[in-house]
Amino acid sequence: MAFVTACSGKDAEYTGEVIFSKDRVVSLSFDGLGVEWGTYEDTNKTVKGSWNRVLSAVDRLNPALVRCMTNLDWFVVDFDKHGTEDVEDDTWGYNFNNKQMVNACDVLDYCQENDVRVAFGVWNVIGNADQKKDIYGMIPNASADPRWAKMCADLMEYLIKVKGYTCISWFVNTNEPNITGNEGSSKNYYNTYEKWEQGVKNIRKAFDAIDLKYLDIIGGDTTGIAGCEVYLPKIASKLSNVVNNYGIHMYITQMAIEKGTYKDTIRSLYNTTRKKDSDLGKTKQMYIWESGLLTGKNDTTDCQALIRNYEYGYLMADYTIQSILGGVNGVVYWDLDDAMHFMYGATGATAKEWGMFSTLASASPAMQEYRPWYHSSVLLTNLFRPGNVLYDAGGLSQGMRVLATVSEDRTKGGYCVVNSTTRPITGEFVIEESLKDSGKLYIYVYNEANLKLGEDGFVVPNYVVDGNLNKKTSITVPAKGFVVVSSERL
Amino acid sequence: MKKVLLIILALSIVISCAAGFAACSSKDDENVITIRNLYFNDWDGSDDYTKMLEEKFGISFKVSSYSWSDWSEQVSGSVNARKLPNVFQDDVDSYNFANTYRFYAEDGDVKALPDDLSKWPNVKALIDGISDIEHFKIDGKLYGIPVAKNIKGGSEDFAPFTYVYRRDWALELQSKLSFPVPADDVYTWAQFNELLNVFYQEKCGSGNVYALADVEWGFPSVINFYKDAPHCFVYGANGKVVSNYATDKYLQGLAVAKDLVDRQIYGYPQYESNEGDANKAYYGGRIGVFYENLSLTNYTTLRKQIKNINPKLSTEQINNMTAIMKVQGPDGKYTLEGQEDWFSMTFFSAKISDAKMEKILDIMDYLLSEEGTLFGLYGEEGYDYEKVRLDSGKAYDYKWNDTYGIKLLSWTKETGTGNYVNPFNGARYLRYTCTLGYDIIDKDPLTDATAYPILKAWTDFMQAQETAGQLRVLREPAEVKWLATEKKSLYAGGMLEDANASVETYLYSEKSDLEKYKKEVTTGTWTTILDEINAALGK
Repeated sequence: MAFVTACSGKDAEYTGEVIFSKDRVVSLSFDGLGVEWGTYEDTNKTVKGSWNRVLSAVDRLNPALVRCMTNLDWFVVDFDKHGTEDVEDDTWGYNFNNKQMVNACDVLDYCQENDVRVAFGVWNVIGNADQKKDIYGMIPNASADPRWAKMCADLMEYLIKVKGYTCISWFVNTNEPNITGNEGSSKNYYNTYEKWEQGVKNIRKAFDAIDLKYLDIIGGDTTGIAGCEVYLPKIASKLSNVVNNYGIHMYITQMAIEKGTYKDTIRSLYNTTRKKDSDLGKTKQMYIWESGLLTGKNDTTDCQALIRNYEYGYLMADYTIQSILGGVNGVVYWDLDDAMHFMYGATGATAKEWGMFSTLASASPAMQEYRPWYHSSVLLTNLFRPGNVLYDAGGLSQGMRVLATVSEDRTKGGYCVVNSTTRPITGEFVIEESLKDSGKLYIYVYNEANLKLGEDGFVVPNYVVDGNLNKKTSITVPAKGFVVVSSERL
Repeated sequence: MKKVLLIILALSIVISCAAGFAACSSKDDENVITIRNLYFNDWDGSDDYTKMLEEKFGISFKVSSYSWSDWSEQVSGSVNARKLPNVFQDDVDSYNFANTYRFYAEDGDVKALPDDLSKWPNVKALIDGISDIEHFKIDGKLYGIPVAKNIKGGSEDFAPFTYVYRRDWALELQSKLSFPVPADDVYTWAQFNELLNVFYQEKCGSGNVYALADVEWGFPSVINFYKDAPHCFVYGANGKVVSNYATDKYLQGLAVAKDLVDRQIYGYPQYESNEGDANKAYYGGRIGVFYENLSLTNYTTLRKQIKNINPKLSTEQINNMTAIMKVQGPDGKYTLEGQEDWFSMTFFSAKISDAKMEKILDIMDYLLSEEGTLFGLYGEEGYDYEKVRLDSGKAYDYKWNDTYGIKLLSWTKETGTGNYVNPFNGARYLRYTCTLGYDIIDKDPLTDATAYPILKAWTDFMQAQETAGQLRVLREPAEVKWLATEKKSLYAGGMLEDANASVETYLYSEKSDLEKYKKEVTTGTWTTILDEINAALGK
């Protein structure tokens, strides 16, 4: 038996043997983890030459999923109503050669070359939320407006058929349609579920007409439990033949994560949806397309105060495990880089700071560096790979969450153990499924005292020991931290 | 006129506002409490603490918020449509009393509180502690709960409506001033005016930077140093109630304001400014001296907005950009408006059952209790905090009382600022339906540790000046303020708005007509209402 002590094991609570048994399969084929890598709104605000740094970061993160959003307002040109109120005779063109399209293509180029599956979408319908300044008149009908489906189909035809981005697997029909916001400042103000549903149907029809039948539409992209509870059951009842991905956004409190109640919440949502659509978990999956902590969110600036804290990394690891235990089969972190998105107010544009790092030229060196939760995410995205089988274990101490993973060919695997309590926990961990692995165990310990970075600035194992995942390994997990044990260097 | 403890509205909302629709639902489930409140704008009711409250009381909450910019319209819209949430909050004051509180009661929109509140001792104590409470009773019944600022009593009787200024500009322009920039921010009237002139000459060349501006409802603030009452009514020399807007003192102040407008010292376009615009201009660095309601929330938000624009600013720099002025008027005294010990009222829809109202009162009473207060302030004992006996020698973060302190456990600080992050505890927000919690500000982890001491020092200073007779507190005579005569009830709110419009018209007209102005603020409705008031008072 191998022994690894990441901290003072003698003071640790002993949880006993933790067996990831064959009969505790959580997912037969996991779809992986990923990150929001949106279209950069203004690359003039980034550090010169920072794109290579972004690519290095993404390389190391190795996401299986990427969500990339854009704005059709950037591309629609020469709009003409021809003097009538009939929207059917409106005409317009596109400028797909501008900077924003270049920025979107930069992201998609990487994803196409690296087999990353992409959910590509448009934040909102076009137009100005202030009706007095709006020339399109699309906002009252939201995505149900017939012009919207045409525009979206034209955009996706350009990206997939002209540019060849077959990495795009899903289309997002507007961001968080359940957030209606304030009149005059939110383009969603007049949206309803019924309008959104009509929009999805229109877009499905438009995609089919241009032979993009393979392209799925995310079912919801709604945020928060309350919003999902409204949208998902309706989607399951009315659109089950149109969407195959129940996509949600979840921003969760620290308390819900640490106490483990989040898992029950997400499980309840999953089960409710599955009752209405029995294909969920079989041919259809539920993903979290935006994930993050609610605790620490500043509503005014849309920034996250905790992203530079080590706690954020451990909490997101716990969040990830609980999401998967709750039935979710893919999780996308919000988000990669502070420099992607901005709030636009009276005093100009301010960056939405939620990233794993920042390439903003205006950011201090401390803000630019890779944040602890970037490194914790690297461990998770590289451990829980697409196609892997995932296992749970029973008999855990309170505040402990675990998840094991085994590759399809049974040659790789590992597990993650999160400890949300204020004292270390020791246990003996073993995966029952037989593996022909490397004979080495790469052990990574995540908390402020133990996270280990190499000379290149990326995470490296704290320990490399001879061992096998099928043999008991004694691990001590630090308080409010987590440990990853892998048969491969991550 | 809305002089309130404004929480600046966030334009982006985190999580679903689907609850907002539920608040308007006609289906009135006995176990679902719909609540709408101004202070709920960054809370959606889905947190763990709310769930704990829901389990404790066997109910569930559906919460939604009002937006500051059209709070009154949102309430009146719900009243007119007869789609009121179970519990709602409205901005009640003496000028809109007849159109809000009295109207709701007489129209049958709201439910009277139980006559006997002894089952809810904390709620009863809160209500009994409100200074004007007798004025709210209609046929002996109370139709709402005034939201107390401080349930322990002893709050100051003056409002923090005062000047925040760019001390950094003053220091930068020291060589242009005939006096040293005061370290204590005390300015004589002459120094105040000199500073404004220097700001105008040295900073306002670009055309969109202004020496002096007021929050929209506070314009023109300089008249405060001359007038004797805050709003419409004041006792004249003859012992009768007269128009405050036409007294010799008011007209003297009006002339001063006119001079400042004409000289572009008051260069900010107050006449076309929307609510909140001047505030934005101040934190955007375009105003030198700014009159605002410096409640802790507003003052903290102002500082945060400045920090948001330039995150590299140090606390000292922000202090210099948001120093609070202490201006002595022409008579050498400080002047502030008086304030009530409550702000706004919480109402219960007339449609709810007695049992449901009692359940809501149970929750309110709990939130006002020590246990509920601790829960709302710190969270769950054992997870979020623990009590530490003072005599144990153990460290604690806040002294709660003479027996124990509070040691925070789960609370997390933001890297860089060191500020505690908001755990979105629903009990904290629900408590705002009864009290704004001024008595626990210094024990609150979310209180801005850099802003609070500055405001506290200002408050202490002004309290000392009041004690020494050096502070004039502008108050409307209570017997006039709450006098509910027929036409005053109907028209006083409109009179106030019209009078302020007349002031603005006079100040900004190219050919200002003082006689026309005086006529507007003394005749017509004014005559009728003043006669009515004087008759009612036996004058």
